[in-house]
Amino acid sequence: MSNVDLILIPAGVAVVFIVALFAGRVWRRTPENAPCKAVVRQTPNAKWLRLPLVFVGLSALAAAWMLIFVAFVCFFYAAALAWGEVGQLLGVLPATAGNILFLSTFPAQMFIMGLFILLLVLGGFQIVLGPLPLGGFGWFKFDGVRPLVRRLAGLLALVAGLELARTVVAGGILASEGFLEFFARQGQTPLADPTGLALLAALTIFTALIVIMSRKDRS
Amino acid sequence: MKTARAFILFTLSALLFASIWTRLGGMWESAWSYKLHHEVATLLCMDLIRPVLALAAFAAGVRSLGKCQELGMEKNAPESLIALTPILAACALLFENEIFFSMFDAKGFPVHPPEIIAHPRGGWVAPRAHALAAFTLMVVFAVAWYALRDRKKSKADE
Repeated sequence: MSNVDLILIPAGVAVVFIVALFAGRVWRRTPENAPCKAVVRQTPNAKWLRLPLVFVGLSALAAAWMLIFVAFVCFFYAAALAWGEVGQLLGVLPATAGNILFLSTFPAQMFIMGLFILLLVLGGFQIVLGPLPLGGFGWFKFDGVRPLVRRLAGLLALVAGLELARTVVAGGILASEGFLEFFARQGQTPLADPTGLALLAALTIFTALIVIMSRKDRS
Repeated sequence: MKTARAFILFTLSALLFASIWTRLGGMWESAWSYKLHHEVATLLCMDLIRPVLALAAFAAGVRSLGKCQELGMEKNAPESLIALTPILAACALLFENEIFFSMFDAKGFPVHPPEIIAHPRGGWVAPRAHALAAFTLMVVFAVAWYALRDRKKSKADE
């Protein structure tokens, strides 16, 4: 089976996923207070909004298919990395807890990114079309934007935490082996680079401001 | 006026949703090229900004019609969603530095460390600087996660 054939698996999974999402969610089962229905029924001059809303629905459906496809590519990539990076390397390196944890960070990050995308699709779907009958999968249930954003931010915090842990370990090993100087190239670092530092600082401040605004609005 | 504003925002939302398809080629290329496949995380983070912004535009369109509660949308939904975009952009900046890789190849020689710390576009990245960036981002995300918690679960004594 070639790589191109393999890619058909996540593509097919994405199709099944989309069909499953819509199977129990036809227009008549959408709650009256869901934005897609409420905007059309409760807004004066709503006929002018039907065209962009239909356009939003179609493009969101296409985007959802692609995002689910990418999410499952992430899951497969995580599995392949677990096999390739962890499984094979542990045949060479001693299978200590430290080695296993260190090598598992990248597969874990890819898995979390896949989960992030899946949550984004499911959350966006539920925000616009109302809650889904998810049964025992309550972790995927969202009744508003804020819980969704909070969960997504939490997942990214995990990704950054794994990144930090690996960098500290890798940096420590590299430093003790004297590789830092060996691989250094003209002493350029993103934080020494004014643009990178300014961008990081601006992003941090911007995020903090938006979170503060969001809290203020809620109270 | 409200309807016109909502019309523009909904159209913007649709265009943003559709625009993610324009990025499929780059992501496909990254995923299948051995030389480029490490960069898929960067692309992933940058491209995920589009659907997040599209949802924010949709929420802003609903809000611009007034009566958020009746229309099933939280008042501060656009801001909450927009708060995710700098997070994702910062993640892309972080992953640009090619940390997304492990340390040793099958021969046991540490060939990957240069990939961890060097990137054709990112240049040399000292692990200390990268650790500081990762720590900053982790703290920001954790604060966002904590700040956006549900107040109803933390009621004061009555």
